Amino acid sequence: MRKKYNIYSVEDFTQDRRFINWVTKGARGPEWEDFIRQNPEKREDIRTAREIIESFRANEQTASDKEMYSVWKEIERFHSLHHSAARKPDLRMFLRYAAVFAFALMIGTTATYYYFRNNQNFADFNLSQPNTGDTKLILSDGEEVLLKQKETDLQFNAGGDQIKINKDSVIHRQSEGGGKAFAQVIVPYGRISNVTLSDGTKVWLNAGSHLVFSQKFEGNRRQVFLTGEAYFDVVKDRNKPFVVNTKEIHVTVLGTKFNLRDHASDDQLDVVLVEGKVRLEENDKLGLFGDETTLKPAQRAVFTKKDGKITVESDIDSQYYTSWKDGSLSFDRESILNVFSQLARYYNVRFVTESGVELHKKISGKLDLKDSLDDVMKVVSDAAPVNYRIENDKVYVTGKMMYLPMQ
Amino acid sequence: MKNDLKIWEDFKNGDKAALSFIYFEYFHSMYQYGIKFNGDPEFVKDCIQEVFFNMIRSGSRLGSTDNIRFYLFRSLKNEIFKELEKQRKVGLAVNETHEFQLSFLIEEQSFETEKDVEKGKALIHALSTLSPRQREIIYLKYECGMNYGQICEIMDLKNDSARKLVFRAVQSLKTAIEDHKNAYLFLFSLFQKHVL
Repeated sequence: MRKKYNIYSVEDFTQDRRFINWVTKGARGPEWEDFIRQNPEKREDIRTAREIIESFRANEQTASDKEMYSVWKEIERFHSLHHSAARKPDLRMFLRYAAVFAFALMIGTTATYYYFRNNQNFADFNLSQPNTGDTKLILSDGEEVLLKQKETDLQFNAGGDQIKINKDSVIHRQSEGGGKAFAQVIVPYGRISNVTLSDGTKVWLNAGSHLVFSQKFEGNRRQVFLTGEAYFDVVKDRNKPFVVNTKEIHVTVLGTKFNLRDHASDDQLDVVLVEGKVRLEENDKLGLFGDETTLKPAQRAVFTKKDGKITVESDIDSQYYTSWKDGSLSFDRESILNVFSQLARYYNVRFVTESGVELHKKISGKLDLKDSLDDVMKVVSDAAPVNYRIENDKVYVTGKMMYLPMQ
Repeated sequence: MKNDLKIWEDFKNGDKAALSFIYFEYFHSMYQYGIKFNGDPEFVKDCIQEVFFNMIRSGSRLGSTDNIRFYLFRSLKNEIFKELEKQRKVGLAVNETHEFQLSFLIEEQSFETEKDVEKGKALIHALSTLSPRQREIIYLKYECGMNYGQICEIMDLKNDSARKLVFRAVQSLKTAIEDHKNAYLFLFSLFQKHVL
């Protein structure tokens, strides 16, 4: 199939469509790697041709989403004037295109979200907050892979067509529909997962999280969709911003490290920046007000879902928010309620507390999540005035009896 | 691209979902192409808006296309030069040149070893000798993935002169690389994983 490439010169390679797609988009990586192994005398020419094409990469100036939406508003209005019976775009209309592009049904709504972001919202996605079961990887062609381990590691290669599971077995999968194909990782309570995306970005997914992403990023931005909690270590690519979309907000970055926590059941979500720079924008305001908050390292933004208010705290110790990815949980004056709700996710248990327990009392400390729940609760009960009893998947918590001196 | 045909037909029939799809799919690449002829963001956004207004005005009278991106790029370029011509007539923007301004990522890349620095400099120098036409053609070919037929139509070139322009650019970079045989640059994060 690649026979003719044996006689290609450097110049020939730089003109070849397949070769260009390999260099610029990582397409058919394994085939080219095989070709080089079988034709070692071409290695040098191929390297030179790659370097030439890579040197041609443009340094792009991009417009902001806000600019894109303000032009769209004009075009939309003009269109309505021309089509007085203009229909409102709705999900069903869009799904026709989703079908055209061979998206899976749910993924179709994901794309809807992007194209109609000013009309639709994240709720259209149906990103569920997972509870129980195994960690699940769903590939863009719909195939599901169940992963039984407590901690899983998934690595996508640059072409997005090879997935290495737990640094061991490899799945080969041509990404369906090119860059528009989405894969998903669903991490239930009691599990965590490390995912390396095709651009090299690392994502630590905490218990009770769901991430949707392109198996291979194409187009102008690297979009992912999240519910739950994740720590991102984003590979820098100034021409392709990385955007994390959640139900209420989206966070745009170029290359940074940050933690985003947004559980459906929580009243607030937060973003903690470890390194670099991120920009937070509320979804509803896109194109209207364009309010945005920019975070610097060691700052934490808290978004209150009820009123859409963003507050920023500076000089925080980011370790308290990110230690979970290394298997420990640090608290600094955190309410007992918060500690319990995090433990409930890690160990996949439910807490049943007696009414006398002071859930808003603050505690500090560090818990090792590799320990058993019983060991962890022992530590908690030393720090907080509580007693506990574990029965199956429930933890019963009662207030500690105060010592009353006998008269 | 048969998907393009279908979406285009729907758009011509006044389907707003199709319009929205086309706009959001291509806005950024149109902007990035346009801004290289004229560095003024407002001007470029106005031209993009005008391209869409024209498409909406023409509606069902538009021809068919199986490559929407190509159609949009060509229309945007025509619109930009039409606008610039208008400005020139009323005495605005007389002295400005509107040659294709393309800067390269490698110009901002930092290199580790001395050998790499030397090689990087040689490549940047080779790139700096490219003419605006060569830059445009390289951009359309390597960044936008267009074929020579489309490039020739957008740039009003003959096929063999287009190939020649690319070929010369490739050769001057090749010379720079061969002069620095011992250094292997790892350009840009995306490619670092393909260690040959």
